[in-house]
Amino acid sequence: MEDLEIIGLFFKRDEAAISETATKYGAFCRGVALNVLSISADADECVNDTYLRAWNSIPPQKPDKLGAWLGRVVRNIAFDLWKKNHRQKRYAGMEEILNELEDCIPSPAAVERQIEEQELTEVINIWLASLPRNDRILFMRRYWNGETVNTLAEESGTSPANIAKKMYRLRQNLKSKLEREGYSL
Amino acid sequence: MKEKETSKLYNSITNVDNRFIEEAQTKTRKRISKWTKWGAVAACFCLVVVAALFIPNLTPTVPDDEVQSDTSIDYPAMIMVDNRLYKDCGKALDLPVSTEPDGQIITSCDTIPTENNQSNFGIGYGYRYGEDNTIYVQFDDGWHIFVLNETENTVDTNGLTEQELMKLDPGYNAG
Repeated sequence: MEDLEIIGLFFKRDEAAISETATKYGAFCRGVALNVLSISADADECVNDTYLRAWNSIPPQKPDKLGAWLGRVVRNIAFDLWKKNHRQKRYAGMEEILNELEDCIPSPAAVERQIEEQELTEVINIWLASLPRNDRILFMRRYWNGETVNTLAEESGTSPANIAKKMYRLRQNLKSKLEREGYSL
Repeated sequence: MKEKETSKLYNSITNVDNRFIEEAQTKTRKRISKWTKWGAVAACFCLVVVAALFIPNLTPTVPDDEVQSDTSIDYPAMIMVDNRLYKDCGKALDLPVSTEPDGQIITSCDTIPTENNQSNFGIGYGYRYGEDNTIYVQFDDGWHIFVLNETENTVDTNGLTEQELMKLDPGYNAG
């Protein structure tokens, strides 16, 4: 079913909207949740909460791209769950992603002002657009989809160390971009 | 962990443009067409001819006391442990994920590691001492073999590029 038709079902308050969303985007949402949380039951909880949030938000919201919208909701819910539980549970995926993202934080001496979250998104958009397509996809698959270094290595026929090396360079590249523009997080 | 900053970064990445999110769901790699491939070969050939004609000295000498740090060189993944350099051999090892590491990579550089517990691909990776001069490095849920690249303080130069050799030995190209 097309996105517009699914959104139409949400607008009509037809419960088939949930099953159609699950059919089209269930695996994608679960994949993102599982990549960052690494615990199956928690990933399922995240996905169910995502459907509930979609039901409560559409309408009035009318996403342009339903998949990307749902993915953002899943990431936000997974992050909230991580914040709530990470001292009790080990969410390996999220821990690794956040540890790696620390590399992108500009050093204090190099910055002039704090950047707001929305502005930071714009800077990242410009930075992503400037990357070669393969590097951009690699960065997004690791830090947006939350896919593991091993998965990415297997798919591209190289070693995990090579992918890790590439990811390290991309993180350093983003850090330089932020420092050049004089931002702190 | 710098939780506040990483949270901000995570949230900002969450909200990047839809087109990047959609692009990242494409897993199949584009096949390079025959024309693109041969076009690239022809372009490289032209570039070499032009370079040979117009650049008088294609192999600049590097002063003994000045080795430039060129981060554009694609160095192999390496780590330094106990003053020895180990290089990724591209093979994995069947070792339980729960195996405790002997040490951890704590610093990183862009080129060739020069300090202990340093890599050129990031920090936080656990490692274990392996058999036959190897080190096992943990990535996600697996251990990967790095082999010794140095014996008796002599670097095994097999397989290293000119630039790598210059980096390891500043006088390499001078005389």
